[in-house]
Amino acid sequence: MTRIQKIKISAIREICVWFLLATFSVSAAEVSFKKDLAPILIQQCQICHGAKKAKGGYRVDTFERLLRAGDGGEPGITPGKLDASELFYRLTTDDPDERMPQDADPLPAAQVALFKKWIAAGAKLDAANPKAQLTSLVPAPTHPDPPKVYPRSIPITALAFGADGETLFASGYHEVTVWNAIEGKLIRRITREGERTYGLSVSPNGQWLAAASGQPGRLGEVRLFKTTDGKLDSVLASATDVMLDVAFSPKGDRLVAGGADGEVRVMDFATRKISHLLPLHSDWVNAVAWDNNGSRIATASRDHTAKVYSLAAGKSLATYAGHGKNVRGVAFHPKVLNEVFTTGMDKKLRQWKVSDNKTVREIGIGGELFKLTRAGEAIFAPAADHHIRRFQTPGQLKQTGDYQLDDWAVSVATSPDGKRLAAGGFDGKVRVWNLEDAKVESTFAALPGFKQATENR
Amino acid sequence: MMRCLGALIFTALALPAAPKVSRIEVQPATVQLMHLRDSAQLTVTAHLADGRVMDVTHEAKFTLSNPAVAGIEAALLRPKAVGATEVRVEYAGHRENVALVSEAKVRAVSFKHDTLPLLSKLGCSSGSCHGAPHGKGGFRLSLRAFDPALDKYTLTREELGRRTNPLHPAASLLLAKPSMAVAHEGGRRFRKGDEDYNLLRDWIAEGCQVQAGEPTCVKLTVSPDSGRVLKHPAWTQQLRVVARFADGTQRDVTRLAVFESSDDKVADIDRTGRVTGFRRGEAAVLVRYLEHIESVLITFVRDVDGFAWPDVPQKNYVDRHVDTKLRQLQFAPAGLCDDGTFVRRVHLDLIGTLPTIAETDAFVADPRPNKRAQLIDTLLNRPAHAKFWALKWGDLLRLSVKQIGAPSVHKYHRWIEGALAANMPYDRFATALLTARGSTLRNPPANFFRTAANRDDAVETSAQIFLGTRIACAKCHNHPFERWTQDNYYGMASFFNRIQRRRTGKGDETWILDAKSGEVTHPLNGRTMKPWAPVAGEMALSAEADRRREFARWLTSADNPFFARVEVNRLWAHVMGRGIVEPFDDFRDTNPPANAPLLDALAADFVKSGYDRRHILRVILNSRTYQAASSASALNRDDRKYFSHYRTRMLSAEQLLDAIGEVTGIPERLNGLPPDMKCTQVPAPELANVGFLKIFGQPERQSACECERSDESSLERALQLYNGRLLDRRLKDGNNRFRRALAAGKADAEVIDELYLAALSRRPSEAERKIITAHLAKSKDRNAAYENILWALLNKTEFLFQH
Repeated sequence: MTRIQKIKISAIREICVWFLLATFSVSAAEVSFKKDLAPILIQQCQICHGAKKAKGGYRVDTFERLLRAGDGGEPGITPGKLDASELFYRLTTDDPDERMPQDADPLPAAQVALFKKWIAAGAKLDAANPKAQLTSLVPAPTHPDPPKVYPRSIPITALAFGADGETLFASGYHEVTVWNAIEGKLIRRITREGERTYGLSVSPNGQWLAAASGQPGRLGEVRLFKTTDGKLDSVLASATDVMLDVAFSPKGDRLVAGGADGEVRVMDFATRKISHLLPLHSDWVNAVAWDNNGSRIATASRDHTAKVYSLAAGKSLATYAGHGKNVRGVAFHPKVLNEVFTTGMDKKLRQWKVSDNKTVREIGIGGELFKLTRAGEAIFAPAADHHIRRFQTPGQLKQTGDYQLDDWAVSVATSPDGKRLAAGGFDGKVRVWNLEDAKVESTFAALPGFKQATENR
Repeated sequence: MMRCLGALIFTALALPAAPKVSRIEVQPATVQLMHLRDSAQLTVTAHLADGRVMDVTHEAKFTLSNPAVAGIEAALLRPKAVGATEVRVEYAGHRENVALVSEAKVRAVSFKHDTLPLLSKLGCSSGSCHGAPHGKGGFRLSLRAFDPALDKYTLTREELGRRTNPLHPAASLLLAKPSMAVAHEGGRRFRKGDEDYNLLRDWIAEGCQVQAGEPTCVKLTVSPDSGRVLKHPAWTQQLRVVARFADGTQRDVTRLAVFESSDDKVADIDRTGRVTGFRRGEAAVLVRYLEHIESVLITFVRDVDGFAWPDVPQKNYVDRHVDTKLRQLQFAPAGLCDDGTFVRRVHLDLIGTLPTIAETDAFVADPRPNKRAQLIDTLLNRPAHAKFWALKWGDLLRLSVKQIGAPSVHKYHRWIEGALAANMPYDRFATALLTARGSTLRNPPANFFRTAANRDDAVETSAQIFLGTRIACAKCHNHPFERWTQDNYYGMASFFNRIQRRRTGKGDETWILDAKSGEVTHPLNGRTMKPWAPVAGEMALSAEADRRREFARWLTSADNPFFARVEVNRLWAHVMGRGIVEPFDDFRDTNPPANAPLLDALAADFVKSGYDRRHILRVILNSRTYQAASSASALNRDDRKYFSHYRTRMLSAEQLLDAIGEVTGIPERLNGLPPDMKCTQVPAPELANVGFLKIFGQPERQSACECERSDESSLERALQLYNGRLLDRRLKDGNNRFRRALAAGKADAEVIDELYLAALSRRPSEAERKIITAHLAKSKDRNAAYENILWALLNKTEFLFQH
């Protein structure tokens, strides 16, 4: 079938569609691109037509690209002209090989009607920057409340101490819970948070809590809360899949976050805006870290590499592929400028040089490893063998402590004064140790109302 | 509209009246539904007055005496409450009752018995999706759920429990992706609210439980049994699958079993277990649940317009079995080929070369009625027969200079040729290869475990050659298409684990010996594997047992179902151009024989004859089936696998080069080999280093797979024949066949006859002769004209192919 014939047929079909749509009355109000259409494009189209995979050479991850033509040569959208908008043809054709989304039901008629009305009315962008990521245009969602009581456990994937060294922030389900670490008592529940929280960071002045969160496969966010009352201050970043880590810079003037979209985002605290969007990795960014003076960042990724990037120089300084597997945790050496520690699925803690990407030292550990935490001159590595190991960094790296949970140790945090360690388990439990005498201070399920159930996962 | 209606009425009238139903049969006779999650598939069979059966599962009417206890939809019973009810089944005026008891117990979704089979059924854990070694989109499942521990980790733990959400099951990625609530590259696998969706959701809602200590599934039963014959238009069949567990319980798993058709051109099967036939033939339906695999063979027949059984001879049991199948499927067999075709065909098959003109003439002129049998015997006893068939075994046993060095190649080749020349019984031949020890130079069959250079190669090569099984997949995971499991692989490996290979330093000599101990450990669970063989199972062998000899003993025992079948199938394939099982070294449930009784009969005869390969060849070659004409008729053109007519095939690389040498009168001289050695007799490919042979598919002998010898056409081949140097040189050679004939003063008619007889084993037809004579008449250069004629002859399909 020629293109002309197709257009003719599509025109006839369009009349039919028009009759069909007449029954779904689209409100007289103007269609908003960012509110009405961008979420559909993100959810239904972007997996195949995004930055990672641009099938047919067509991308919908920015407004500008949405309008452009793919390999077929027909513009995605021609404002005011439905029959010169490939996107509309693809949404409405009944040729199953051509209709999008492929291998799925067509979009609901009401959604198609929104596209139709918007294109016909000139396809206007109700936002400033046509080159901005669609995810940054969509208004942040209002998250549901957390469960009153937890009927089942979820893993404690993120922990952070408050400035006082006693308050402990823990990941929950659509919340961050706040605990007195010594007594294991719930202080507050910070709501309006994404489904799962994967990274928590408290600002150096103790006033702000940044949370990297998301709903797997659907949404990722970095949200900023006030530590004092748990009020939501702002949504710093949005993405199509979960945000996995966030960290305040040593001075507290910037934040860095990484997530499942492989992008590293640097945010300016004062303006609450993204200053750098760095496509450093081809797969998830699991962890991020700052160096001591806040000029370099290090990242750990599921693409089997760890990287060091200089914000000052605006370039990548190192790519380390020594793990050969998913890299989970990263921390700069507290003293040696040129060295970085990483942990990975290869069950190894590795120390390596930024200058030549060479391994300095590797230590095998009895289980897959999660995010590293640094406290003073020590680093802590939580592992799936239930252990959290403490390593002393000056001189030859050596293990100087061993702390244990009842399940996988998936998160750790240390108090700002370095005197206290908290670890979160896959079973939903948190254990807190006094680092001076290695005594357990408390153990509690960091899930309000959760009663130990018979679970076998 | 009127026309459509007319056609409809006409069709209805044209359909033969369906035979009367004499009774109906319902399976199972009683139904017990233990849990609310259970379901039970009923099947209804109508027995017709003419003895046929017909599946009427989806045409029968079901009525429950107490509809509060259970419901039925698409012949699938589902419990509703505790109680008992009668299920009344009616079809064509017949009635049967099924008693149903429902206990309506509640049980959690079983990870092993529900969740994983479902993910397998949905295709999630298939090799092309998340079952690929690295998964898809960062999500990896074990292939067909062979590693439940890994899948448990992946689904409930990996990436911090990303895929399942017990707090809000419907939000789980594991549901959102396949229902396309979140875009999924694998497309839609189910819809929200479907039975499959609900099962996965319940598993998550119940906390993603992975139960310990569940009874293992011990047996899978599929009904109806293998062998059902369905006559058009009643070409559907509902299957029913029941799993039996170690604790004695059983459960209908029709809805969780995976179904596949061995030949989707013949029949397809949907996810509910309903088979639909498309054309005449047979299809094996493979049914898989957990690691259990069963297959059901179904034959689809129909009345063909104008079909009549022709008057063709039946020479022996081969023809009887072939004819039974052909009659059933209504393909008409071809009659015997003419003598010229036969003499060419049988020479190529038994000694690899074309008959000489004198041989052709003598055979055609021979008036004896049993001359074909005589010729077969003569050829089987010629030394050239062993020399040519040594090439086939050379391929299988990987005789190459690269692998074992030239001295060993020659010795090994001589040993194989000797074994074939002496018609060594096949069981002794196999045993010699499998048990040989010592110097590879002094005891050539010891090279078997030299080319199979390590344990895994030894398992895979032995299975490939003697069991016709490509077992290599099972090294890393349970075989995706058949019943071979990883346990089987490593169990079989323990027969070969103790073999040691030591270089003696004397040239290429290697010493093959066995260590006194050494066991195989399973790579996944570290278990020590006991020697295991199909059918026999685990073998309790004494510590000092010679494991290779034990394997050979098992292999060559008369009741081994593989050994004889694989070899007779190989013999059959080499002379028929296609195995009864095809590919002929790929025996598996999903690849059933085209004619099982024929294969069985040949295998039984083979065993009875004392594994006499020549006897089997003689039986096959004397059959009408082998001697049938290759031309197809309207009544057998669609048959490609039931041997209704002879299958044409291109000469192998070596045969072709020998034939070109013979027809042109300029044979290929092979450097460093005896001057009269034919290409079909060369011990190893490197010894006949001719580009032409490589282009036409001569294998390098790197694997024991028959598939290494390529028979695909290519542009390179076409160009070689069109204007390749090898051919051109011979056409222009001053001493070639036609120049010699012309120099001897032969007349054109004689020269043309000679060329035709040499190339095609026949004289030209009148039409051909006319064209050639005309060509010669208008050509100024007689030699050039003959070059063209010979070129045209050598490019004829009739020359390039065996037919």
